Amino acid sequence: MRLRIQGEIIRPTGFGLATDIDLDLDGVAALVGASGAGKSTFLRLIAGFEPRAPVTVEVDGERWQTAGSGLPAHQRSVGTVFQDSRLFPHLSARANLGFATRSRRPGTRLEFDEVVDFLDLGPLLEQYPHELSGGQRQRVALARTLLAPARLWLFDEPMSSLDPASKQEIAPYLHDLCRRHAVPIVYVSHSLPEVLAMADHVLVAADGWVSHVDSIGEFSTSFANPLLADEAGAVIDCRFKAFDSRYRLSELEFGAASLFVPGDLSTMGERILLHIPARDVSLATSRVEDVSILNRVDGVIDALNEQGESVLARVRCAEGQFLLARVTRRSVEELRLDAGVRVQALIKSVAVRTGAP
Amino acid sequence: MTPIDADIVQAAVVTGLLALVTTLFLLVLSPPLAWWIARTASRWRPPVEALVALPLVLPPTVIGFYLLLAMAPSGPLGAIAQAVTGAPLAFTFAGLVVGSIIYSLPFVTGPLASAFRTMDTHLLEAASGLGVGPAPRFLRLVLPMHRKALVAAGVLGFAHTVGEFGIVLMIGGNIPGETRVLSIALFDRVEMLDYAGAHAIAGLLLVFSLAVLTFTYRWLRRGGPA
Repeated sequence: MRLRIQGEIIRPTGFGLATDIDLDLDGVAALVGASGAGKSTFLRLIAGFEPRAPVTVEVDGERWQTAGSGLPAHQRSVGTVFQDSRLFPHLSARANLGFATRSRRPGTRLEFDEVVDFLDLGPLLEQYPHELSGGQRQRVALARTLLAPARLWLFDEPMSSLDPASKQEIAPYLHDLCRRHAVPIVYVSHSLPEVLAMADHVLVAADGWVSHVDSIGEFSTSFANPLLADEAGAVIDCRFKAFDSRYRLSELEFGAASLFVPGDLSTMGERILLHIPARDVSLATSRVEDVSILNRVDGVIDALNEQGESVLARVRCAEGQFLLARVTRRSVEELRLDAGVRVQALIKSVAVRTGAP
Repeated sequence: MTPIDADIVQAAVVTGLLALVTTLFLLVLSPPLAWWIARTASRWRPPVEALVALPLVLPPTVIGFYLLLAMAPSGPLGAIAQAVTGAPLAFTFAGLVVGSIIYSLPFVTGPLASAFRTMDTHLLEAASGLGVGPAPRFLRLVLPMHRKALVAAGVLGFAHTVGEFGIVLMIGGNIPGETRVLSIALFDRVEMLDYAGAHAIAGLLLVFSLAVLTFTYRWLRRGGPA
C-alpha cells in the first residue's frame, strides 16, 4: 500500500505536527517517539479524525484528504485501535463486535470465530464493558477493530493494558494477520524489543516532525533512536548459506563473516533478519579463537554513546550494517575503545525475526 | 351531582390524546434537532436555538395569535392544510397538535441538547472508525445511550402539553370532544361559577403533574446505564 502524507497541523494550543512521507507500506510500520510527540495525531490524520487539517493524505493514489476537504472517517477502510478501549457502554461485548461485523465498507474481513477464539473472548461475549477488566476491554476493542472490514490497521498502543503474557501472544498474531491478509499495520510502540521483533518499517515522531527511517537495521543502531535504552540491539540482514544437520546449526552470511544460528532456517527464504541485543555482544581488541562463543565478527568501531553507567558501541561489520555492543566505561578505558578501533564482536545470542525485510 | 361529569371526562380524553400525539411527534422531531444544536459549529445555531426556546419566554397568547393568523384559510399553514386535507387547520384537533408541538418543543429539545452535549465524542470516532455512517451512529449509538434523557424529555413534553392554555385559547375554539382541553374546561367552570367542577379539574391536573414529575425524577436518579 502506497501511503503519502504531507502537510502540517497546528492546534490552538500551539502543538504542531508536520510530515512529508511517501512510503510503500507492507507489513508492520512501528511509530515511535516520546509522549506528546504527535504519534496519536499522526494516526488520527490517516483515520480521518482530523478532517479540517490542511494535510494531504493519499492511499494507493486515492486522495483521502487535502486542504479543506476530506473523506469522512467511516468511508476510509481503516481500522483503529485506540489507547482507551472506547467500547460502547450500553452494549454487550457481542453487540460491540456487531457494530464491526455489520459494517459494509470495502476491505478485508476476518472470521468472527477465529478472532474471538484467538483473543479468548468466548466467555466474555455477553458481558457489558463495565463488567470487564481493563485488559479484557482492550481485547474486545482489538477484536472489534479486526472484525471491521479494513485495508489498513492503525494501532495506538493497543496492548498497553494487557499483561506481558498476553502481549507476547497477541503481537505475533497481529503480525501474522497482517501478512496473511496483506493488510498493513501502523503501530505505536514504546517498547524497543517489540519494534525490533516485529517492525518492517519505522516512523519516528520527534520535535513536531514525523519521518520515515529507511530500514529497521538503520533504526536499531542509530543513536538518535528515541527508544534507545537498556534493551538496545541491532537488527541485521543476513543471507542463508547452509544447514549443518550434524550440529543442527544454520550458517548465515553476514558481510564477510558467518553466523551460526540453532535450528534449520532453510525454509525461511534467502534473506533472514536477526535481532542481536547489545547486552549480548562483547568486544575484544585482539582476535579470540579459543572461546565457546561461535559467533565472532570482525569490525571497526563507528561511534560510542555514553548511557549512564555503560557505553553503547556501534560497530561497523558489513557494508552499511552495524552491531551494537554494551560495554562498561572501565572496558572503554582499559581497551582504549574509540571510533576507528578494530575489534572483534563476540555475540552470545541471536534471535531470528519473523518476516523478511 | 358528582363534580366529574361527562364533559370533564371528554376534556380529559382530548387532553390526553393531544399530549400523546404531540409527544410522539416531538420524540421524532426533537432528537435530530437537539443533536444538531449540540454538535454543530454553524453560525445558524444561535438563531435556531433562540427560535426553539422562544415559547419559554413569549406569552403563549402571542404564539397563539400568530398561529391563528397562519392557520386561517388565507394564512400559509391554513392554505397548505386546506390544499392537502381539504379542511382548515384553525379550530381543529390537528391545529392544536401543531400549536402544541411548537409550544412544547423547548421542553423536549432543551434537555436532550444538554444531554447530547456531554456525550463522549471518542465513542462516535470509534463508531466511524468501524465504518458506521452518521445516521446509523445516531440511531444505534447516540439514541440508545440517551434512553433516560429521551424518556425524561418525553414525559416533560407530555406533562407540559397537558398544562397548555394560552395557545389553545387562541387557536382551539373550545369545541367539546375536538378542541376543549382540561385547562380550557377549568376556565369555563370558573366563568360559570361552577367551583365544584373547577376544583375537580384543577385537582386532577395538580395531582397528575406532581405524580408525573415525582416519577420522572425518581426514575432518573435510579442507578444503571443511561
